[in-house]
Amino acid sequence: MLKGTNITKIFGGLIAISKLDFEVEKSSIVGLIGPNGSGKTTLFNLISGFLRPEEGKISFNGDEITHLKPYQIARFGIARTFQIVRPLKELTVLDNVATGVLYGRGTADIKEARSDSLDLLRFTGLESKKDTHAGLLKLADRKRLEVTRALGIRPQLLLLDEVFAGLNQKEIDEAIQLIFRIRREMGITIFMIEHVMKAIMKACDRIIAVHFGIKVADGPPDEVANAPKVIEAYLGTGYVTD
Amino acid sequence: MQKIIKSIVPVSFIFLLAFLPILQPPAYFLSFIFKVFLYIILAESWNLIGGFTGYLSFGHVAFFGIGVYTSAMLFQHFGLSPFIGAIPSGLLSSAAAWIIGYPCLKLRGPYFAVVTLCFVFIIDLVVKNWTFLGGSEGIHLKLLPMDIQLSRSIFYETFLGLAVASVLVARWVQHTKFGLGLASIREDEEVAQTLCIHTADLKIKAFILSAFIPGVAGGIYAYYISYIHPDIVFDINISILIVLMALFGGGGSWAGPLVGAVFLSIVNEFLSIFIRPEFARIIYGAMFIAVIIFMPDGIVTFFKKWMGIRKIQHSYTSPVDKEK
Ligand SMILES: Nc1ncnc2c1ncn2[C@@H]1O[C@H](COP(=O)(O)OP(=O)(O)OP(=O)(O)O)[C@@H](O)[C@H]1O
Ligand SMILES: [Mg+2]
Repeated sequence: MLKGTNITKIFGGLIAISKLDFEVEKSSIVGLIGPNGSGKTTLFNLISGFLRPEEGKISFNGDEITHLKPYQIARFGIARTFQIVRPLKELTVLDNVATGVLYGRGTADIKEARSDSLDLLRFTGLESKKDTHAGLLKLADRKRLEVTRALGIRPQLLLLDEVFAGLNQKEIDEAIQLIFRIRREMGITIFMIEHVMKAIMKACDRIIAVHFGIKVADGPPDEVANAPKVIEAYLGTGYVTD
Repeated sequence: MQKIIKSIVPVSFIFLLAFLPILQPPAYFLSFIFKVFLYIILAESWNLIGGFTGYLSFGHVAFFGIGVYTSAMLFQHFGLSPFIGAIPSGLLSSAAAWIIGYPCLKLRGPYFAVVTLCFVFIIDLVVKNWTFLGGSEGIHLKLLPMDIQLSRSIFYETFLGLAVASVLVARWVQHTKFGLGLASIREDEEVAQTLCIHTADLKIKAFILSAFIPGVAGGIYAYYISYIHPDIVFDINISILIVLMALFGGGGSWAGPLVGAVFLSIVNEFLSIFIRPEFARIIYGAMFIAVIIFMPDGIVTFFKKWMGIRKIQHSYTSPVDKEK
């Protein structure tokens, strides 16, 4: 479904992503892990059109999307969330979602869009907050809104950037259940960045690990977690014993 | 039913205003109300780009001035009636918005504000140095071939109509898909893009629409003043006043600029009649500062909240949440 080949992104002298190949298959949940500053968010920015790669090609369902603008990529059916949540603060929770429904699904009527948005809020458990200004939500709800708003455009692929960060254990479990339901009930493919190792092991079918912008592992969760290069990346060379 | 009851008050008030000239009030009073209409038109139309979209334009008076000059030229050279000439005036203002909006709307925040300010200075200079447009001498238009009392009334009614129309346009925009798209651009342009919004396209549409209205009003205003000079119609103070009025009332909704324009016009008039102009300026300025500090969302939002009508709470981000 989503495929990147030989992607390189350089900031000034810093190589953020280096000759990276990756693939996300339809209906899968794929994880992207790596230490701080390893280029994960940069990769999402490349996929969603906010950055352009120096080299390489990204395609979605066979169409090349490398040089498209963010709104065009969104219209292709790729939705994203932001690591640092970005609610449309002065709008209500409902209208945050309705905006995506209006423009992403081609709905013209605002009432109809709001009613569809309410269904989505019910799905993600934010219904009771529908009239709250988004800027007033607490973190867990902001993350939920970030996901709900992304669902508003009815995407085929959802890019989640650290939706578990800052949540407590109970909230993480709820978030994992939500991700499973998004795939199962809406048929949406998921590509997610995560730091919380235990959570991502539980949620994903496959995990890609990067370190300094280079792919160091790619496979089933337990395999990736035990790969020497991944342990090395997270703990430093000295800790690799055998 | 409730809708009908709710609209009775404003509709009857508009009718009352429409009948006012028949009572033959003092000319001064009529011309004051005329000026209020003008500011409602300007502030409401500015709000489409400045308030709804969050692009603080200081160039709004330029679109008004372009309208004034367009219909003046059409009248002088082709004898076109002001009420017909107003349409090409609006179109030319929109065309200007399209041309300058294309590069300028890529700029954000203070850069956009400064560039639109410069636009006024540039166009003012061009007109002053262009003899075809009367240069710095200005243009004297022939008076309309009718009784002055009658022509004043006609201008008054036309501007009342335009004021009502611009309020309705703003209200309509606010409650449609278009308006919600603009609001999302104001809140976070990149997020808007992830929601499939072609932000550049939407912004330019808002800018073109917001320029059309003052263009039309300017087209008619030309005959009202009949002597046209760049210092009058490209006066940067008007631009600033428009911004103040809209923000004073509150830029987030259609009601803000309306309230701001009416209130500030009245206050301004009172101050300049009863107090020496220097003091008037100081009070005026202090009042504005107070509103910005204590009611940053404008007085409309403030009083709605104060009266408990506002269901949704005021936006506040705790420093802890901001960290995340
Ligand atoms: N717009 C930018 N301009 C310059 N440098 C950037 C930019 N964006 C990211 N970088 C740099 O690129 C590197 C990778 O950053 P990125 O945000 O992709 O890391 P990450 O894997 O998402 O990290 P984290 O886990 O902390 O979110 C970092 O060194 C970062 O400072
Ligand atoms: Mg990141």
